Amino acid sequence: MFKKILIANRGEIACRIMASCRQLNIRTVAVYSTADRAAQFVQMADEAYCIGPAASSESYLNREGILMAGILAHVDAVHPGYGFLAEDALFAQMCAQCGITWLGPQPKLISLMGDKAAARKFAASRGIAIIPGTYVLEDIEQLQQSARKMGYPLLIKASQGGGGKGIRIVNHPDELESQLMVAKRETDSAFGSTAIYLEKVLKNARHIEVQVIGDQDGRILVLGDRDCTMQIRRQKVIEESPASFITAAQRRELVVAVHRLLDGVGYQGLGTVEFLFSEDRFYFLEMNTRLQVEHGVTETTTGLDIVMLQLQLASREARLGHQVPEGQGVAIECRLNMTGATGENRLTKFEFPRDVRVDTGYASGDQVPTYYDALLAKIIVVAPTHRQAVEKMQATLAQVEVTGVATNLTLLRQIVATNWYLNGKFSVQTLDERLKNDKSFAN
Amino acid sequence: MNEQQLKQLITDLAALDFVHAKIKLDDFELELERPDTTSQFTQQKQTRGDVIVVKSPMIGIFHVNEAPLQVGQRVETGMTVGQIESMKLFNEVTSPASGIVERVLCEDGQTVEYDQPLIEIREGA
Repeated sequence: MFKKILIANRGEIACRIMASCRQLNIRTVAVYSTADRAAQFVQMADEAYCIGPAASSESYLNREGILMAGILAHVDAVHPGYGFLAEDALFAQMCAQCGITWLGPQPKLISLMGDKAAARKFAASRGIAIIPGTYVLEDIEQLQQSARKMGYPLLIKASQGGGGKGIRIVNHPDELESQLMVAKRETDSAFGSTAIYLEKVLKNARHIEVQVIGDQDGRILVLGDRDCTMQIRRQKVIEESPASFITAAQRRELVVAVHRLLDGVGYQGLGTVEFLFSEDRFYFLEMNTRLQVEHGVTETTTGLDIVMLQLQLASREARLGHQVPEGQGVAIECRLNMTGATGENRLTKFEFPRDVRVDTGYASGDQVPTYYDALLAKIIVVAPTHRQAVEKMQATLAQVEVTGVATNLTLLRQIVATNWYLNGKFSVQTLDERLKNDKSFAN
Repeated sequence: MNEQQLKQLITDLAALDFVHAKIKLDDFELELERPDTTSQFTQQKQTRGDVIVVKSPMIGIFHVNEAPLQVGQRVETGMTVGQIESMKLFNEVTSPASGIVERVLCEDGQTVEYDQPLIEIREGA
């Protein structure tokens, strides 16, 4: 087993990974920016190194600085968490060159899935349905021609985007050319590439994803599915496991698709294959080659600690079973987000009921840096049925107390109290529409 | 004399005010020369400028100059005060001000983090 692991991340996910390391008696090394000096994850680590200033480009994205900390601390592995360098093939390669185990798939698979257009092509070549659209097209005339065939509305997507970033919607043919120009400019500055492609907007789509793990020999096991349909501007807000509104046959279909995609490619570590579900069909959306924010709902229903399993597989101290773990009950996660900075931005009160799982990197009294993502905490409940889980979430959110920082707590309470949420009558666009049209919703 | 004892000796000596020292312990011999800056130093303390703290620009290993910086020594803006070795690259640390070295806060070969204070310089002195 590894002796010492560097966690190349911050906040709740750094704390989460350290908790699993502790269970396995692995020493932990944190790296942090000057904005995170007093952070929980820095205190929790056995060793901590300041690697740069607040701007993540010079700290959490500073490959050399992070690796230098790993070398100075003599770590034998790096866990990237999610975001930052988690899907950076170059960093994965650099770790290997320094003799440090990268806790994720091979760099070539990170690159393949990170290039969203290439991933679409790959999925299609493995016989998986992809969302109707194009491959990367440079020529405006070609794009216009394809758009005419596809019909409107359609999406312009950045090939280096993903995770809901780098997407523009085009509602009318007249907008296409100007939107293409804007999209190219945006993707160039955000991702350093002008590669774009077009995709059809699917009707009443739900976001369904599958958690997988691969061992060192590339054998794949599906650990369950999640429904992450509740989104604001393509960012997930509430997630569930398992996806309650698909049938057993559809679930089997998903498992077959994931194996068709990944069997024999040598995938190692954790990953999530995302699909859009529209008119009874699944369409490959993208694959994230890392630990996902919402992994906790899968853990809560399967009873697995998937980070621990990942570490055990990476050090060849565990073997994958053949069986998909039998899930128990329904788990729901709400993402408590900061919605804006207020003065000192200090959590004067930050309290949760004790009988639910809360993954957070903050404690009462902490100042929340405004340089990074808005996630304050993930609140996870579990109950035997979907209805009971929703009721438990309602009761839980009623007891959550947060002051000093502006949050989406009111909005979360409102969502879980609606009938359309309880009955699963919503798509990936529903929340955006409600926020636009129903003024009683907190924004 | 082992490494630990040697380190201890260096620390002890750093605290002492001397210009010339000769130490002989069994077959271990050490002779040290320091520039005589004491008088100059005391004088400059009277016309106190601001203390500028030179901080490490990155995580790495601190290396002193060939002629290590001494307390009381004069440095000019842009002068190399040490190097940080990071990922096998040596990065020069330069003085942001002209003045007198007031304290040297890290040793040769020491691990330093980003933003860690390395040297204090009394500006303008």
